[in-house]
Amino acid sequence: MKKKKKGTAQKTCDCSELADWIALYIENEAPSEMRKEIILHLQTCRSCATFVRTLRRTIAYCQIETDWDLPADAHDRLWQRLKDILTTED
Amino acid sequence: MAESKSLQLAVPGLPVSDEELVRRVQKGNSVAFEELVRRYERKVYNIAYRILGNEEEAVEALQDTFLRAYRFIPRFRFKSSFYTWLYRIATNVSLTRLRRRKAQETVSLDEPVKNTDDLVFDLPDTGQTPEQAFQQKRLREKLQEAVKSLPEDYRAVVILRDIEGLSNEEVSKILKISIPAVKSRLHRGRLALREKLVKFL
Repeated sequence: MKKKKKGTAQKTCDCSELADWIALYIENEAPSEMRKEIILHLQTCRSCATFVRTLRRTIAYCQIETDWDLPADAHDRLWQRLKDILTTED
Repeated sequence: MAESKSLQLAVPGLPVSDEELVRRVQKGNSVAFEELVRRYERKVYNIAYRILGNEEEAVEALQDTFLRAYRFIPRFRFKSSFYTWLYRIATNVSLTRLRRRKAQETVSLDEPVKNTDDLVFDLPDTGQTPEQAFQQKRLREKLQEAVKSLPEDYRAVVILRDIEGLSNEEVSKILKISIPAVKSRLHRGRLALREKLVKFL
C-alpha cells in the first residue's frame, strides 16, 4: 500500500506487515523507518488503528491494575504456620 | 515469634534493605524474616491469586512460598534481588498447584471471580461518576477473568510483566526463560487478553 503526500512518495506498511511488527512497535523497539511506515498506515487503515488502540488499552489496564487486599484471615494463617518454625529455630 | 525483639536499623531513620535482612536471617535472626514477610506477603498473595484465580488456593500458596523461602534462604547467594528470588518461588508454587489442579480437574472452571463489591468503596475518591466507578469495577472483574483464562505460559508472563510491573530481565530470571521468550509470550498473552476484553475497551 503506498500513499502520496505533498508530491513525495511515502512508503507505508500493509496490514500483514503491521502484524509482524506490532510487538516491537508497541514496545517502542521498532526501527525508526518501520515505525514511520506503521504510523502512516495507522492513519489510513481504520481496522489496524482500532486494533492498536485496543491493544494499548489492554496493556494500560493491566499496568494500572492495583493489588488485591489479603483476605481477612490470610495474614493470621500465614503467621500461625510460620510461628512454629521461627520459634523452634530462635 | 518474639514481638519484643526489634530490628536494629543499619542507618537510624532509614529502612533496612532486603539484602541486609536476608543476611540477618542467614545469621539466625528470625525477626528479620518476619520483616521480609511483612514487606512481601501482599505481593506474593497477588501473584498467587492471579495465577490460580482462587482465593483459598492463593492463601495456601502464600504460606507455602514463605515456608519454602525460609527453608532455602541459607542458600540465597545475592545473585539476584531478594524479591526476584521470592517471586520465583511464589510463581513456581502457584504454577505447580495449577498443574496439579488441572490434572485432577476437580475444580470448576467457572468459579466466580473474587467479589469486588467492597473494593469500590475502598478506593480513594478519583472524581468518578457512579457509572464510571461501576464500569471500572466491571472491567477489573473482566480483566481477572481474562487473565485466569490465559494459557499458563502466557499468564505468568503477563502477570509478572504487565500487572506487577517487573522488567523483561526480571521475568526472564523468575521463569528461567530467555528474554526473547519473555517478549514473545508477553505479546501473545497481550493479544489473547485483548481478544477477551475488546468489547469492554
